[in-house]
Amino acid sequence: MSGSPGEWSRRGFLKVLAAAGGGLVVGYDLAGCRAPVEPAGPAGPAEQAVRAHRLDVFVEVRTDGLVTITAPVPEIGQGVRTALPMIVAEELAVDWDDVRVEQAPADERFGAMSVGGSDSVRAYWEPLRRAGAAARELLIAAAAAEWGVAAGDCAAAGGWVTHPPTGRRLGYGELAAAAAALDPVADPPLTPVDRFDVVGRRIRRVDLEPLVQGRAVYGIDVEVDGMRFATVERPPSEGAVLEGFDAGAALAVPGVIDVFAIEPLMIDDLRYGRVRGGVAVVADGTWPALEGKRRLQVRWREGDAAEDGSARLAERMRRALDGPPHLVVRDEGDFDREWAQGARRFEAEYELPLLAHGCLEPMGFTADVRADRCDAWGPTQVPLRLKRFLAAALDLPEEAVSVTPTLEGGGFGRRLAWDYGIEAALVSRRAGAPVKVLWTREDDVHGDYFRAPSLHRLQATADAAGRVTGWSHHLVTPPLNVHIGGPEVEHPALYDVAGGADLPYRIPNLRFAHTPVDVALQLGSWRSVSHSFNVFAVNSFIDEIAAGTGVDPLALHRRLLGEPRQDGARLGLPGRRGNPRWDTGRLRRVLDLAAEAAGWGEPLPAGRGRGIACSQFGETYNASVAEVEVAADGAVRVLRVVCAIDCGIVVNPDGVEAQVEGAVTDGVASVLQWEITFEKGRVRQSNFHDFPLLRIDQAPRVEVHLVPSREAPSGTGEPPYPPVPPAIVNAIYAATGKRHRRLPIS
Amino acid sequence: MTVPAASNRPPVRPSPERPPWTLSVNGRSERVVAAPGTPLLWVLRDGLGLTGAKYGCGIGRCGACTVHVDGRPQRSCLYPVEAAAGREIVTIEGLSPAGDHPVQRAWVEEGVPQCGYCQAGQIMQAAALLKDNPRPTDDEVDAAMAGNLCRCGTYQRIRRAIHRAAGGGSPG
Repeated sequence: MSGSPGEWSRRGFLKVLAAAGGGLVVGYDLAGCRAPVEPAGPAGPAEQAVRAHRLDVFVEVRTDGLVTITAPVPEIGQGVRTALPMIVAEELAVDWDDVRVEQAPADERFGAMSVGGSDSVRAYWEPLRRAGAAARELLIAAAAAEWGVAAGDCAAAGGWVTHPPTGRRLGYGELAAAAAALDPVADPPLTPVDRFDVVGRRIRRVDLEPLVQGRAVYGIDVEVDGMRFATVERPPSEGAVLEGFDAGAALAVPGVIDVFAIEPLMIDDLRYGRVRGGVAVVADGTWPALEGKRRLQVRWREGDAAEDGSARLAERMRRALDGPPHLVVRDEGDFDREWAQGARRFEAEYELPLLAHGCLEPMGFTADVRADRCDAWGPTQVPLRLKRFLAAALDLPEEAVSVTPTLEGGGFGRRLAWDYGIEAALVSRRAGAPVKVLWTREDDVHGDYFRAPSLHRLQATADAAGRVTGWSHHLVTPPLNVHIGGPEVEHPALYDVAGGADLPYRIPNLRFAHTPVDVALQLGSWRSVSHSFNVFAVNSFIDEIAAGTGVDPLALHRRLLGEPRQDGARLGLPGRRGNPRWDTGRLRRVLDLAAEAAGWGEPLPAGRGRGIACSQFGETYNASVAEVEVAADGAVRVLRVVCAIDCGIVVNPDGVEAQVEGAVTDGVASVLQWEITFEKGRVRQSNFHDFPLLRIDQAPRVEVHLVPSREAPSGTGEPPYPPVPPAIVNAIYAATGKRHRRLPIS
Repeated sequence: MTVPAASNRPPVRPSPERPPWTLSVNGRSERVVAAPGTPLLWVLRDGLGLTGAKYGCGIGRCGACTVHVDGRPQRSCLYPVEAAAGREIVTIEGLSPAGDHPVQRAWVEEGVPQCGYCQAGQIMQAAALLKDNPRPTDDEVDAAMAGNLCRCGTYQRIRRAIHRAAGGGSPG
């Protein structure tokens, strides 16, 4: 940013200041404008606590006509560095070619800056439109004053203000200085949806050239003056305490400079920001740091967690499922009575494993900690939270801390935790030098915040006509909010029930219950959080009921959705999760769109099958039809997945399609091969040989269908994932008659 | 807000344990200092500031570190510096003088990257494939690219981009 905020005139939420080069800078105060909901992801109370009150976003119009738009949230591969500036450019009425994009540093002026809950476009949509519109109105006012005409007779388009009655025009660059001296209007008119020009266009991402040339800077590429390289040996199991270490062999590695212990640290009881402690190896290069770590002799005193493992966890989950439910989240009608007297009864159990994130760029951060300040660079989904907790960890005022987000080699929820950023700062402080900490792939897998495991029992009743009259879902899972929520946990089950308790189906007797279990591992957000498992159970079970009642699965989905209606449920939980809203018409529409595009009902060769599934995530509606081929030896190949998505107004179709393609890849991998297990407190997988990412020769053809909409954008990062795994498993059933109730199927 | 990615960090001094090596990288003769056994990846990244090749797994299972050695794609995370000495090494930074190799152009045209972290390795692997097989089929693309992992799910676009770089549509 070239304009330093100094004196600004202010009316309403808008502010204007002169840029260093005499241009115009417009900010928009986000206070009170952000949607009053918590992100669907993992934010919760911690997010609320650090969300600032005075926030703004800047648009800079330079005197040469170039427009710089600050991308307020980090780019983790979801395309927001392009999509968010597109929203500003739309309202500013500027040519996209004249727009330059800058990444914002961690600063409350740029809003919450958190990338989670598929929230970026949704949360910034309105404020960014207003910022762009305010700048446009100022430029129009400056031109009108110059010409001595009414602003209402002027128009703005393509970086020019024109006065149609006289044919005069001035470029934004020529107007920037004069516009900067004006007061903004409080409520600038927004461009009507049907006149959108930039929004909705297929725009190539802004950062592709440096990326394909190897010049893009990720966290692992940061290099600061005097920097050293470090690795850390961390506890082998939860709660293990460092007893001692022998650094001799490590220090003998040429290039190793220092070896020291890092104390565990947890602030505000937030596991997402904890440093687990361990032994750091500091060197003059990455390789000696790795070699030093390999030669360390470390002694740990392990606790009860070292007795735990997947087999015991499975026993606990089984006992919990067979016992009385801990918390009934939703209870309509009388399921027990219906179960006792229903004409047809269905029952099935589904089991989903722990999952790692497997971001291709492992965790790691660079920090330069001095006596009176800390500067940090790296990949994070929560730059503001990291900044705040760096200050707390180092006992520095927040003004003395800077966090600059780099490009990120994937996030998927893992980088909502800021543990590795704090750790890098502690290593730098002790080393007395700037330090880049590299996590090995093994460190990354072992130190993950895993997607929670879950066990589900579903029961349903149908009457003689095949109508579903009763539905019960008992979910057993470790409560995510206990793991990530800190001391102010709003409700332990808050993040676990979505996608299961909030079904929009008209079933007279409907119950959803939740029973918690403990697990001695770190858990966290993973693309779509609880939707990732609940939607699998729900859509698998619908498919089973369809098969059992002899109804086509698509027909049963349609029947369950019924006539289009907007409705909701009260779950007795706080926030929007407590009062989920739905529009069954929108869900029905994506279901029908995917089915039609996939050729639902058309015959397939032997060994092939189609499966269908749908779900709602926030205000985004998704359906998938998978087509699989099962070989004689049982090997499954997913050939094609057709997806329909209604995510409100599509800002950049290319970006939405990319997110859906990624969701499908994740869906295939989670059905075929993803699972984390542990034994004696230790995660058994360690690298891509035993937690294999999907390969290109396993990747299906993906077709994406976008539903045109005039609704505000509602997010696309997570929503397309949940229906994919059940669509695939249902397709396997259609092809073979074999029902997989446990993932992965291998 | 720019991120620092270059510094005047002093080069490591040669010693008996860390001798100097002469490497040919992107057509230039480079002197690097590293212990025998040091993977080429870290020599390129830490020693020469060529950070396009990425660390992903360290065991040759992801392909993010792929570079060309004597024209063949190699996993630089497993390729020891002593084996690299005397060979022609090309990294993503040197794939084409202006960063406009047909594969790089195709990657931009098709909008392949999401997070982008694996893409330098993907591009180097794809460029080597097309040198051997100028018009690969989908199956040949899959076979050649199966060792390059992408967590974001860009495979469909990678296939399209390779066919585009090959100068045609999909041969199926």
